[in-house]
Amino acid sequence: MPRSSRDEEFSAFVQTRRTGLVRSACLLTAGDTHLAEDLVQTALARLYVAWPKVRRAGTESAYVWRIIVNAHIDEVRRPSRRRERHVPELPELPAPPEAFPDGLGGGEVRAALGALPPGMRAAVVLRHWLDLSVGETAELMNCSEGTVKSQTAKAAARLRDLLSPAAVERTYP
Amino acid sequence: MNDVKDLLELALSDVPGRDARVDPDADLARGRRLLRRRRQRLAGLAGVTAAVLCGVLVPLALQGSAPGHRPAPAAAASSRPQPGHSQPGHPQPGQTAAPDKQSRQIKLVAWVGAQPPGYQVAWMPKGWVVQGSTPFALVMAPPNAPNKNPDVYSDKLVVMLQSRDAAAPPADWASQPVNGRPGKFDVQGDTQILTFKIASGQWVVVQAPVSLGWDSAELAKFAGGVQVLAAAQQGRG
Repeated sequence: MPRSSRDEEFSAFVQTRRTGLVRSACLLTAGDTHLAEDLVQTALARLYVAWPKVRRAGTESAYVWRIIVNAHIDEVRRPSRRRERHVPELPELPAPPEAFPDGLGGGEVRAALGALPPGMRAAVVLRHWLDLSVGETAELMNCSEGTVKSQTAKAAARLRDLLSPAAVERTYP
Repeated sequence: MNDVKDLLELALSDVPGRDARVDPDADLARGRRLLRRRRQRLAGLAGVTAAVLCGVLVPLALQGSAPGHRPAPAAAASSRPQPGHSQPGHPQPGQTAAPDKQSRQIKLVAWVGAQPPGYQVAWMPKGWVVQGSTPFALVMAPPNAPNKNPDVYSDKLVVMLQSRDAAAPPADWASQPVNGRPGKFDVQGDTQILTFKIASGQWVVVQAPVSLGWDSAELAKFAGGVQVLAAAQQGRG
C-alpha cells in the first residue's frame, strides 16, 4: 500500500515514542505489560485517525496520553474486571514514614502502585514520571488543579506507607 | 530513597522491553483499519440522512409543485408515510437497515423455568442458558460458550449490583432510562454496559457482549425485566 505523508509522519512518531509509551503505561497498569501494550495500541490507532488535526496543533503526546489514561480508567472500571478483583477491607494503617526505604525491588514498587486507585496512580505517573505540570496534568485528566495536587500528595504518602519496611516485611517475609 | 521519580524508575528497572525493536507497520495497519471503519460509518450515516431527507422532502416537493393542487392540511398529513405504517413504494426511513440488524440480533424471549437466587429476570436471549447464579451475579451465555467458567464475563450477559467501591456511572455515558428511572449506557470494546437505578436507589449493572446485536433500547428492555431480590449482594473492588 502506498504511504501518504500521514503514514510517514505517524510511523516516525511511533518509531521514536512507542517504547517509552509502553514502559510509561506499565506504571499505570502497575506492571501489567499486556494491558500496557493494549492501551498503547488503542491510543496509537486513534492518534492515526486524528493525526492531521493533532499534528497541526502539535499535541501528539498529550493526545496519546489522554487516551491512555482514560482507557486505563475505563478498563479498571469495567464490571468484569472489578468482579475479578475482590479485596478485603483495608486495615487501619500507621502514619507513613518520611522516606522510601532502601533495598526495594521493582516488584514491590509495582505491587504498591497497583494498590493505588487508578486516578491517583495516573496523577503520580503524569506528574512525577512524565514531568507534566499541575495544569497540564489537570487538563489531561479533566479535573481541577487542586484535585491533581491532593491526589499526587496522597499517592506519595500511600506509597511510603505501603513500602515501609514493616509493610514490605509483612508482604514479602 | 526520597524521590517518587526514583521509585517509578525502580518499578520499571526489571520490566523487559527497554530495547525492544519497534516496527510501526502493525500500528499503521491498526490505524488505517480504524480510519476506514470511521469513514464507512460516516458514509453510512450520510446515506441514512440522505434517505430520510429524500423520503420526507421529495414527496412534499412533489405535492407542493403540482399546479392547482393544494391539499387540505388533514389530507396532506394523511398522504405522508406514517411511522410504523409501511406503504408499498414508500419505504420508511431506516427500513433498509432494519432487516440486516434483525438478522444479526439474538432475540429476547420470555424467561421460563425456576428463577435464580438474587435476581429475577423476565427476559433472556433466545437459546442462551444460565451459566452461573450467585447472590453476586447472574451469568448467561450460549450453551456452546468456549469459556464455561461463570466467573469470567467475556462474551456473556451478566446482571449484578454495582460494586460497593464504585461510584455512580460516569456522566459522559449516554443516557438510557430503564422503567422511567435513570440509566447510563456505554460501549467499551466488545462489551456494552447499562447501569441503571432501581426503586431502592441501588445501581444495577447489566453487561452484554456487542455480538448479541442489541442496541441500548433492547438492552434496556432486558434490564427492565430485572428484579433485584433481597438475597442479592454487592461485590467489592
